[in-house]
Amino acid sequence: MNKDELLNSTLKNDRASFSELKKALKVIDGSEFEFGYSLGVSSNVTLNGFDVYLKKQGYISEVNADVQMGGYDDLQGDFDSFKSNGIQNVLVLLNFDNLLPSFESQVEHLDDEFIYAKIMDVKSSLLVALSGGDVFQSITITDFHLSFVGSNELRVKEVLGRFNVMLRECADQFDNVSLLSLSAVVADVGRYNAIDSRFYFMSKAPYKRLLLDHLARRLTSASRQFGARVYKAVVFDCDNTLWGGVVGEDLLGGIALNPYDYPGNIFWRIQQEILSLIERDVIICLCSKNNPEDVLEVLEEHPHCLLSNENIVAKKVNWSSKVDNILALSEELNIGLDSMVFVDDSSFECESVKARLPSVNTIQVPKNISEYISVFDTIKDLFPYVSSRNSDLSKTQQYKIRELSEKQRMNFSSQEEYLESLEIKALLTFNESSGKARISELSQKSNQFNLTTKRYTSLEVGKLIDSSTAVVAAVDVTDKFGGCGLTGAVIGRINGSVFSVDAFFMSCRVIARSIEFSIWPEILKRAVELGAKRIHASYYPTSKNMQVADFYDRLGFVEVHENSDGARKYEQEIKQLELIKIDWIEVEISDC
Amino acid sequence: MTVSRIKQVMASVLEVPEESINEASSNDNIGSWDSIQHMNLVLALEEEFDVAILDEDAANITSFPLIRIVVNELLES
Repeated sequence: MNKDELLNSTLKNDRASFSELKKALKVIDGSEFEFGYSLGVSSNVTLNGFDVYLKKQGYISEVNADVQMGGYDDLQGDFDSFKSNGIQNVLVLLNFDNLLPSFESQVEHLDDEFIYAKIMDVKSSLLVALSGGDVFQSITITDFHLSFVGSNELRVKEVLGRFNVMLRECADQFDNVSLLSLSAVVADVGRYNAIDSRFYFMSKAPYKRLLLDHLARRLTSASRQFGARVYKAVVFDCDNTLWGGVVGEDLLGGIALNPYDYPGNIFWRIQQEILSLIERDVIICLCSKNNPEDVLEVLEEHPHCLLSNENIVAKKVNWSSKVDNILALSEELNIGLDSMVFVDDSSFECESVKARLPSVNTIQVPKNISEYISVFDTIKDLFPYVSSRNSDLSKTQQYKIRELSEKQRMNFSSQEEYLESLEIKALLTFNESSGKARISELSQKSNQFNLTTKRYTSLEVGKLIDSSTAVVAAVDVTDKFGGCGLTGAVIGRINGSVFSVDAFFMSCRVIARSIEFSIWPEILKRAVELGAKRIHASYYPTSKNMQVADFYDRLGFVEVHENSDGARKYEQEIKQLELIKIDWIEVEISDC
Repeated sequence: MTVSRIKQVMASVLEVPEESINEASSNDNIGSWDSIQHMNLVLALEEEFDVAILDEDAANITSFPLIRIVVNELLES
């Protein structure tokens, strides 16, 4: 199959399987698409397969999308790596339920003070990242949504609303930041089709593929086909598009535009949406086969018509073909056809415009008129949101006052300062047998942050814990929002005067906060107490642990040998070590 | 037949040659078999055989023999 056939048979086919999609993407060589778009995706959950759907949408829009998926829950780290990789656009997706373990279920029992503190915590970490994100062309943040239905749904929704207000406030502070409604996408596909509880609880991957596919579409459309398009104007038909019925036949009193009756209420709502487009500086035009005076009469005299003649920048109300009229509008306004959107209820008109003016984005009013609202959402996505700074003064003032008080409260100039505010504590427990099952489990499961990838059974860990010449240090992490549990371990043996570190592994959940560095002074102190003078440590490469290849170097060890396979060995006098200092983490030794 | 279909799915998801998959193949010796590809593998097996793999099995099928056992059980039931 050639590329065009693949594009039509697989990429544009909603029923194509995920593996078919991946195969097709491999065949389609991105290099032939001239327009490139780079996107980094940062999330506090795993978005498995999202890159595939983004690339698919890219190719459909004839854009070669370079997608880089960030790490797990490492906003600042992701931003840094996107920057160094020259990524130009960023999507931030924070999943509400995963902000804290099963947050939705916790919300009912938490008081408002705690909720407020958590909102401030998320806000400050976002603001730190966004302040350093001015090199990006665009940063899109998705809103928070409900994942599960519980008895406390109303309370969760109320708290969710507060988190979303916070997101809006963050977005409003930066010119390159906008919001995208993930909650609308979840609603569109339905929560059952959107949320994958199996892989959420197993692997922190809460979204089903259908949701990711739809989110990719939404993002593509919101980024105006990944920046390949900049829309400026919407050209509306009138009858059955701006109001229900035909004004020439039903007359002024007969058309449906009454906010209290069906289907007038739908068209009235659509007009509200058009007004919000006007606020976004979108050029609104009319193109209708009608008598001009009939249309003018609706605009000026219909009691429920929200659009007025002044709102319409240009109109072609006549009996000529729509194609000719759109061409004339394009010329009159001096804007390209590819920056125009055309909305009409007639299949005939839509098809003829699509056929003769393919660069115009033609959108048909759905036959089921109740679907018009969601179709209109996709039109709104084509036009970027203008921040509230342009809105009325009182609102701006309100924001200013709030902004100021918050700046005083949490003006973090650096990631370190922010981390400090989290009050992170690392609790070290040495040779405590109650942790053996969890340490064994971590050694089996940790792949990325695992220096030697030695796997221990619970029995083996138990034996080491009981041995007087072994150091088994377990790390418990807490911050002001609660505990993360036992999330890391160092296992070493004392042999005469040498402390050999056999294993060091941590759960990915807690890295990027420098806990991995903070615990070492205490561990070495313990080794010295047991008679050690020198330390031996190693890094053994696997296909998954590249990120810690230079961990010991960063910690302050001096490498003595590197094998051809990338394994590194470190041997040093403990006294001579100069370890990196981590001031913002309090390390405590547990007595138990 | 089932065995070769399992191998095809594994080869495609894990991006390894089909003929390299044998009784010893597991997430310990296939480098690309990380937790993300594991999810993809479970989903791809469900798609290929039109079955629903139970949660416990989904977490545990980390080798070719285990996958074969679980898929066969599902197809027989």
